Amino acid sequence: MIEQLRQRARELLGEGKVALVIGHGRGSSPQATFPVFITKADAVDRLVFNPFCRNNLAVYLTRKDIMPKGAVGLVARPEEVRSVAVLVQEQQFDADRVVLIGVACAEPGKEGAACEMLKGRTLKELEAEVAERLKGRDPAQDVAARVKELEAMTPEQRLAFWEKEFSRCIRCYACRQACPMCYCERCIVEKNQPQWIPSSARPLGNYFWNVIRAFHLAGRCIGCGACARACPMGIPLDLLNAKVAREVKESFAYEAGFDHEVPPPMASFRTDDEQEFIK
Amino acid sequence: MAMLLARKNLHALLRGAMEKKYRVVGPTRTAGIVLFAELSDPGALCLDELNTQNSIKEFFFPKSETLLTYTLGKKDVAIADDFAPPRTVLIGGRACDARSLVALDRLFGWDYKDKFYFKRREATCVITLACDRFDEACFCTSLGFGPRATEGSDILLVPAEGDAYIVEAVTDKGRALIAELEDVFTEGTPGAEKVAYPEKKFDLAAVKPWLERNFDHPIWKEEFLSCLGCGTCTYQCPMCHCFDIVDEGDIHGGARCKNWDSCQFALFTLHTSGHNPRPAQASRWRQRLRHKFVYYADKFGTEACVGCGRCIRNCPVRLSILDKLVLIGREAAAAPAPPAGAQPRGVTKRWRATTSIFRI
Amino acid sequence: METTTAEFEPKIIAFLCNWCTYAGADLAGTSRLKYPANIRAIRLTCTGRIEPMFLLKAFQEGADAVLVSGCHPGDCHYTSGNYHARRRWTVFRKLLEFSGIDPRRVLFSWVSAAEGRKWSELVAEITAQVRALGPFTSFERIVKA
Repeated sequence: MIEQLRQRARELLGEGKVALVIGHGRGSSPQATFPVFITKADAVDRLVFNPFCRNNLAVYLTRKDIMPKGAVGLVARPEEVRSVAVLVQEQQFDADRVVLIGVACAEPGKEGAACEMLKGRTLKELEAEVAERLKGRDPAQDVAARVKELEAMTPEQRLAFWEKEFSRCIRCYACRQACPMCYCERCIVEKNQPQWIPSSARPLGNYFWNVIRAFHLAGRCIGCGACARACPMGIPLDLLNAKVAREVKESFAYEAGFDHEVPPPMASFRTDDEQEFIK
Repeated sequence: MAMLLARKNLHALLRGAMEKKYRVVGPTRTAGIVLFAELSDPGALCLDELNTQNSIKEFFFPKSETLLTYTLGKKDVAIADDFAPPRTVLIGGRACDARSLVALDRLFGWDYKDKFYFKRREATCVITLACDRFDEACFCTSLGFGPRATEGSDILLVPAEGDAYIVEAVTDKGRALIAELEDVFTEGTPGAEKVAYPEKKFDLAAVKPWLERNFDHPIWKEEFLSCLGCGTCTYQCPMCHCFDIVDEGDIHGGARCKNWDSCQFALFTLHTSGHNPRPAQASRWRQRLRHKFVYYADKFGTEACVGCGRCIRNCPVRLSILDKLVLIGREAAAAPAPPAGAQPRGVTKRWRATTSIFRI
Repeated sequence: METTTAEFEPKIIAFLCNWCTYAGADLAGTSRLKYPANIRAIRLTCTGRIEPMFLLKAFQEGADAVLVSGCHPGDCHYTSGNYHARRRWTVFRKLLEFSGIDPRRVLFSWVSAAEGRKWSELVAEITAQVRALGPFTSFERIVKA
């Protein structure tokens, strides 16, 4: 499988179809892979893929300081396919700017799990293939269960829970930087006229930041978990994201990252959207 | 004969300190990770991990420090800036952590004595634990010290055979604490020390000269592309000390806060004009390395790095400062400094062949 | 009503659309309809203009509850601002609830320029509800920390 992956990267670079391939590179152990940036066909042997490749590489596609003018090849797991679908849907770049090299692992994070190439070549084909693969599978069951536990609490208890979790936040913004959807040139947390979100790592600012971050991902988060994995203080950000994603799904029958051709849910509406909460 | 602390007496030591009204700070497990935090009882101490996620700087230079509070009256403004940190025993830091304090003392006491930092320093007794293990991110020995160095500690505990620590009182403050809590210590013949030294991984002496003459080296364009630009490395670093001062409040009152800031943020050097002298993430990484190994060394005679490895373990994309230092060490060996007067460049063949598509 | 909260006068910050609810509230006034003075109205062009941060800022400044009110669906002065707002609040109120803010403190309504009576009754109803909930001390704890 890795040879197929390298062959595609070699072809794309060799034929000049892309100026850069972004993939996972070999680290000191299978668990320690890291993002690599390959510009020459003879360097594709640096690419690897295994169940421990968990970085969402789509985060680099909106990075102005490293994106070349031409097209880019991206080693794309279902998470990257869905992220690219959202980024194209939000018109951050044209679909043909990114050549997807589809890959997938049967059980991410599990030693020895089977990995394979995805068949689709275009974004549209890959969206359908990924949707098919994920059908009936809920990769984040433990997250959903923890969301339910929290929902069973009283608002007071939940506030106390988040107060405690957010108290560890050091405002390093690793959650934001690891997220492909956080591409704003100036994040709301850095807007200071007025200062919407206090910049001090104290309870209020930490609360505002983490809640607003989750809200700004409504209908956009594809649940890759990069934010929670990046958090050096172990804050369960995936719970907030999962909660928002579920509300979007239940209210608007929409899941992010399966169709780049429909309008984003938070930038569109139906006249018959539910409104039982409005008096 | 030496002073010993039986491993089983560790909790008694902490309980004694708590009874003497010390705040006790040590590694403790919270939500699955081990952090330095105030311990509610001695049992909360957790020494399972080699190193904590956060560094001890939090207890000398907190993530958000209130410098003063103000209240606006009808005619005048009332300002309160009294500061009296609690007497603290900080246990469970490593030799690298303790060394960071000595290096930070030079910075915070250089042209202006930072009263917040030094009052906390004076109020805190640092009990360091020499390491009986290391991992692949550790590199204290490459920086010219080691896991049982005493610099910065008030008391050093060295693990030894026989389930005990050999107690080394390093400072008067340490000796005073030992006298205060003498019941838990014993005199005895120490067993063999169990200290583990990571191997030396690069030549420190070569790093600074190489960095000084290679500001425009192709390395900067190629090796740091994956950096996401988060502040994790700098915020978990015991030595990184940049801060921002902000006023938070309204017409009635508020506080002036000293908050951590990071050179890895794009906004850190963004000018009002829109110009940014460090326009790419790679240029921010170059700054991080040069600050740690050139500027800080020039000004304070020591590197702003203690080899604790937190930035490596916590990096979301495993971008390792150690790997880069090893690479620089190799480059320096392959392309040594030119003789005086010659072109101050040292680019090896590998890098000369690079035609980078990346900007910096 | 409990005697312990009888003295408590809640502060409710109302973000109102210029074209419908603000005019409706005005009508309530010119019609001499009485309603509790616990509402602090902030006039905005459209419910679609109301940023989620506005609500959080209101809580930061000590609001015991917030109300967002605008034109009925189909009546937006800007055609669709209230439809967009409706989607936003559908998600945001659930997120706030999940983050520990009691949904009874985050209120929404459609009140047209002709509904002065609905406005006065609504304000009376939500004021009583928030008064019964008591002051939002748990959030104050976060603000003051």
